[in-house]
Amino acid sequence: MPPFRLSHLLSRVGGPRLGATPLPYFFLLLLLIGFGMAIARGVSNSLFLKRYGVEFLPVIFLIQGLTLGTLSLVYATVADRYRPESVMKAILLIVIGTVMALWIAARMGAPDIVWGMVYLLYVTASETLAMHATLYVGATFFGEQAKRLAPIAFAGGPLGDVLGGLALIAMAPMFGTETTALLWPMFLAISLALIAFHHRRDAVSPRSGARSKRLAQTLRQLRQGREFLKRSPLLRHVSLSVMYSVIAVFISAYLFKDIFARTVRDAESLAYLYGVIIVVSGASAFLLQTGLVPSLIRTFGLRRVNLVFPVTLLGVLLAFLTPWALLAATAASYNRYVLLAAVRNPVRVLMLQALPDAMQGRVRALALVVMTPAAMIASGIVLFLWRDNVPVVTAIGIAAALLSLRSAWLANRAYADALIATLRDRHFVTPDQIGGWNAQGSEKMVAALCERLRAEDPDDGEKAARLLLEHFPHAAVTPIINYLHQAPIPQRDRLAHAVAPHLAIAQRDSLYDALFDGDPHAQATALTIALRNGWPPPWERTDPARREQHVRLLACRWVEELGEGSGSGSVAVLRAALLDPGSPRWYAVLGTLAQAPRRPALPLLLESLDAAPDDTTALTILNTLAAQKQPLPPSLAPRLHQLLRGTGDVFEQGILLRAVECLPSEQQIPLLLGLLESHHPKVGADATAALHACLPTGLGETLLAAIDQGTLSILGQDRAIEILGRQPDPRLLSALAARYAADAGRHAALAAHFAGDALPPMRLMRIALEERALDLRRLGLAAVGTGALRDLARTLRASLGSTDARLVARCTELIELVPDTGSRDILLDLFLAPRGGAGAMSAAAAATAIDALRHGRDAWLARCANQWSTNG
Amino acid sequence: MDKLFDRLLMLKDSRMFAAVPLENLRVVAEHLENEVYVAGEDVFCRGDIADRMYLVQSGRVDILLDAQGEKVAGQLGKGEAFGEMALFDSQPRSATARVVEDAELLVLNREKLQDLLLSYPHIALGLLEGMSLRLRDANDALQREKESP
Repeated sequence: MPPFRLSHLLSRVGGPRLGATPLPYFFLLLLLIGFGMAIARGVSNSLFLKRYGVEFLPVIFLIQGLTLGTLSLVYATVADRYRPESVMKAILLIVIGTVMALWIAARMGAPDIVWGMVYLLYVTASETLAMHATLYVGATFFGEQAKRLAPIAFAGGPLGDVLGGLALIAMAPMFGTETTALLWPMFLAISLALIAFHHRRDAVSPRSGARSKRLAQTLRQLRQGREFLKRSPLLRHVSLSVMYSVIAVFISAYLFKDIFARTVRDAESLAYLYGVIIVVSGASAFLLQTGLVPSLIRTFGLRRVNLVFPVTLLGVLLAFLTPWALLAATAASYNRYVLLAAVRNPVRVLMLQALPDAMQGRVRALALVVMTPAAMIASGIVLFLWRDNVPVVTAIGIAAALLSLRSAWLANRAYADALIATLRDRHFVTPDQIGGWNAQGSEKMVAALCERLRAEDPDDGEKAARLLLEHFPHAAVTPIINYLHQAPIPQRDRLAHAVAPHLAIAQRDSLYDALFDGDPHAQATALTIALRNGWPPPWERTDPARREQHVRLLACRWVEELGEGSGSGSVAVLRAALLDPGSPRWYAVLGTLAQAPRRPALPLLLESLDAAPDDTTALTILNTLAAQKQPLPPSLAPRLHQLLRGTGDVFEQGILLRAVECLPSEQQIPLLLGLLESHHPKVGADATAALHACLPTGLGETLLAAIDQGTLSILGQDRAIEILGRQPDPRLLSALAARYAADAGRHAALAAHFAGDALPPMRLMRIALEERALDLRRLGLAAVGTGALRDLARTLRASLGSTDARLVARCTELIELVPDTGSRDILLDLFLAPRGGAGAMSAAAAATAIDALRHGRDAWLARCANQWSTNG
Repeated sequence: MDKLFDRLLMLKDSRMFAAVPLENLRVVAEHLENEVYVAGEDVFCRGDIADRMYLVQSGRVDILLDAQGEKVAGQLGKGEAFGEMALFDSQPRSATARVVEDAELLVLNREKLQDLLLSYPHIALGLLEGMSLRLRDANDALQREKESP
């Protein structure tokens, strides 16, 4: 082992520029500060208890609460304005100066209250230094660095603690407590010198920035923290648990300090005892934090470990009621100095990590400025009022510990919900429906929508009109009719049709006024609306000369006569028009019949569909045919299959879907399964709804058969699972999910076989298999995610494939909370990426697997496998 | 390999389409058009109207920040893509692309991509992920620039 060289260490310590890791510097700095503050803890406690008196502790707690609140507020406001190293130097200078002044005052015969002030200085300084050390280290290490290096830097603190405790044990009995107290400012002064040395050439912490922040902004952040508390049950319960535990801890601290002060004879012995406590607690805290607590959390889960501190707190307070006072005091001090730091604080941080980052920061500030100080003041008042009545004080402490336990238990219940909600927010998993729109209706909203009707963008105007019609139909009619005068032609016609069903008889004229004010197309729209809604058509408003000339007005006349069955002449004219595709009268008749369906038009439309020369013409006719909403003959099915195969267009698929819904059920199913494959979400959703409507019973079997036979693509399977999930059969869906997990595992193993091979056929195969494995895992999660597991499965689905280790750990933790072992195992199989293991599959096995894919049901993988087979 | 699969792998290699599953990329690959350029020819010039992206199927293309060709931002070879931003914005070209070795380019224009996105919205999710990756690259580059002495 190379000899330890201080010069070498100092050269590393003094290497402040980028590229040189400042880890040794921070480790050494925190060690020195830890050493000084350990001495401070021992001497300030001993001198306070022995020279001043434990009876003043309640007052100190009160002052401590006020000081901590004020100081944290000032710190939160001021700290960001200056470089962290400058703030650290200022804090150290103030502490050193004050300690020295108080020490000299005591030596010069000042009253014993000076030891109360020393104790107060210690508690304030330890809180402030701990707070600022976090910020200082955080300003240098961030991102991945923070995770890797910051814990090593912070390990300097406990080590310094232990060394300080040892020094206290050795020196206090030898030189006296007062003299030993000088080590405190001395080590802080060395720390100060180290900071000055490290930053001697204007080395600035990378993330430091002089951001000016005002008190008002800090207060606004605190108010936001309060809002968060109201909003999040987890936050509320965790905060309350901490608050109650602070009260109970301070009460227990008073009790054990009282016992120590009464039992130990002088300040030196007490300092020695504190030295032992510091060494033991420092070493235990270090071991617990680095090893035991993380493994306990892994083994028992965060929620169980969250109950540990409230339970031990309750236990030590109950122990004060027993005759073994010194034992109870020792246990309480261990609880205060070890378990608080090593169990409660990290567990609280982990619990709060279930919440969004912004929420965590605000609430941490609120806890520091308001809640913890309030709890200290409360415990100070309790102790001040009943300091002579130990049983009452103990009972209040027990009550606070019980409340802390209850809040911790409630926090556990809120934890999983908060975790899911945060992950869902992070992945934009939206709720199925945004409800409550109707309930929020108000005159203000109607006024705002009416205002939007006058928007310059006609699309905005139409959206506002549709919202008005949907949610406030009674208030919608007049503003929309007024809007028709200015609306562009397409919007005008659509909105006129949309508003018509909401009109009272007396209001029809105002609609006609708006439309007959315009061109013949507007007049034709008015006539079509009348035909559609069964109103007498207002022919008297049309210009007689145009009535017989304009093709749309003529179409309205023919359609009206067809509906009345008033003559074969109109049938013949309509038939001729429908057999003349592309002509103006063809478009006019189809348009009118689409808006104003007529049962007698059905055979004419079917005949024209038969005669349609191409798919585009056929789909235009089919649109009108579907609008008749009449049962269509089964013989139409082959034509629809042919049209479906030839189109990927969303509008055309929509037409086909409407037509399919008019076929008998037996013909519908295969066509709807085809439409289930549409890439367009709306068509897919409509096809899903149509399937559900046409086959309410037995649909599950049909869909499972389609999945089994491989007639559905991944998209189709996804939608099929959505349908299956509406009337879930958990056993069936679990089996399906398990099968998806197994298939995904097989694909991943085969993909791993091709890992690292850059030849195109190999790459193609690897990518295709990896993507398919991911698809199957998504499908599996959709299948298993029904009932109580729905939200969890959706969250996991959104997190699939993430490379963020924290996110994966969170999700895995959520899965571990699922009580049913079977579902839990399937979820784990699906969520955690299957590990194929490169080289795990032999070349022969891989070739067999690919051959199976070539002849398998998955058309895409079969194509890729054929490529591999031909070129690989 | 079939032309389609070659194109698929090329698309998959481009930052923009990397996150779109191969299976969904088929329709994009089918809409790619071949264009041949000879050495010295400009594919586009700085300031030109931008509405297409290019994939280098063979040859080499220099990306130049000035018309004189003095500031070369990079040289692209087989499988590399350029001009992708044109698929989403209507800004003029910010650089000149000059062929330095006879090149065969595959072209996708904005109009076609937009039609595809309307019919296959799933592709848009992958493209958004690709855009996000590019944004991260830009942020990282900016950070490195700031941190460099």
